[in-house]
Amino acid sequence: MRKPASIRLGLLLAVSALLLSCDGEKPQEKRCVDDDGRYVDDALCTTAAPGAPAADGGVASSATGGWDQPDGGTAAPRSGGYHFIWIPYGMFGGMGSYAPGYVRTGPGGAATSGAATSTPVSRGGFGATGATHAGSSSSAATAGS
Amino acid sequence: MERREREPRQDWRRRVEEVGFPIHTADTPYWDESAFWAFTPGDVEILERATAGLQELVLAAVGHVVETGRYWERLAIPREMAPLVARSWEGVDGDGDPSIYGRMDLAWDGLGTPRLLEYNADTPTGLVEAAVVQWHWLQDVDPAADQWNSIHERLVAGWKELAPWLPVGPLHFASLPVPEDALTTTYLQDTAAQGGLRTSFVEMGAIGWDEGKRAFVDGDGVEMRACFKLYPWEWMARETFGAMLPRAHTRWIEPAWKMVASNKGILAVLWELNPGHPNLLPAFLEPGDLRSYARKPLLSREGANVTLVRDGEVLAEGTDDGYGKEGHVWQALWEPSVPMPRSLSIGSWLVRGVPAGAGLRESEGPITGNLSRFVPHLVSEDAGGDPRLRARFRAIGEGR
Repeated sequence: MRKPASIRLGLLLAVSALLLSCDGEKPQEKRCVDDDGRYVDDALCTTAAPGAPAADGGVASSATGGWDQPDGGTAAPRSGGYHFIWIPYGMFGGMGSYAPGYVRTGPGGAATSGAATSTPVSRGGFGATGATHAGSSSSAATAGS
Repeated sequence: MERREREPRQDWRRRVEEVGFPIHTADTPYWDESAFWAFTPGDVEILERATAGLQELVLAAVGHVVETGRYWERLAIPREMAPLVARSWEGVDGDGDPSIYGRMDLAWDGLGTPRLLEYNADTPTGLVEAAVVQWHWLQDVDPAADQWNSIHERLVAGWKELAPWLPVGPLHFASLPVPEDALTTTYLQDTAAQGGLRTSFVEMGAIGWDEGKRAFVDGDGVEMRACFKLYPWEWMARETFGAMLPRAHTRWIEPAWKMVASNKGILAVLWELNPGHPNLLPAFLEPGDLRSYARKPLLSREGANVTLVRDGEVLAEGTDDGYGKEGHVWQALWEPSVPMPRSLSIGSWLVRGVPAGAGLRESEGPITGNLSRFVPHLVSEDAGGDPRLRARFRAIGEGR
């Protein structure tokens, strides 16, 4: 069977375009997340509800997969609300997902989406090894071979 | 087979990006169309037969590992994963839980028999280049020619075959949020969607565990009943959620039995079961009497921490990425019988266990690493079957 000259692709081209739009000079990217570490609209971080944590954020460490404060302090789980986090270049995340390496146990789901669960959900139990290899390899982290 | 040089397309970067592959250049070009390899149809037949035969041997070897239970420690597979592996191996009425893809890396100089260097059975990448980018390259440079490449069509058809096995709900696709992995995973998601499946993407770090449901959930709390993951089983097994893997009912693609097939220790099991097989190299779980060998960590990736030794002297070492504590396999060193213009690794793709095409990687040194260049190929009747072309091939090698 002779295949067509052009292969039809949609999702791949969309993600490829997203990657091409990244600024290669930018070492890290600021993203707004909710208390579960889910990416949300940046506007929520600048108009946070009263009582929400300050929008100072932490840094997702590519070496450990954990989170560090910008001043080098230890990771600080949040009690509620929205805040900025910094994502190292290469972790282009998005698509309504969680930042890599984020570990938290507590009520699952957030007010930003439907289909949330009502039982305790732990997050971030996968992905740490990949982040470790990102820190030790001279090339971009990859789980592929 | 023959290596031929060719002026790259003038706008090759744009052309490669247009078909969905923006990561064509690292410090130097990774996608390299300044040359290509031409295979004869006979060459392709040899590679196809070798791949199909090796796949049969691998399946038998996995069955041997599961049934004897003798290898878990030696392959550094956590004992608590054994029931999960066995369950996946015995799934679907004993046929094993289904696989969608894999890639065997073969060494071949066009003269002897292709030899298996390793089997990337769990998380192979280099897929977009092999399935899509080199096909469009061929359409631009020689549309009348052919290519050993039915990867895309077989993937779409393969997902259709899997549909009856998949539970109700979306098929999730999970990877690290890094370009190479995200592109590979998204491409596979694309082929699944074209196969009629409902799909959803989730980053590995976003996967949750719902204790009440005893289920993995995505970022929106939706239960992950089936998931393609571009993330190695051995990493998953050792991470926080590894303990939940045997408790969950998620149907994983690739299945857990690929933990055995992708382990480099399988090379030693293959040799133990099939000593002298023409498509295998002698391989052992101890150094033994080999004087020239490749020492490979059982779980390394992209040539990391591989050491090549010739006559007792270190010939080359892969980059250090911390692998090796888990143990090694010692595989006899493969060297071409005629000089090769470049070190070449032939990535022979399988889709649903069937040979589907090739992606070639060239290196300056003898170890194929993550920066080894991807070089396209075509299939041509005049690609080196003629002895005069063989002579030219040798001349290229001698002229290095």
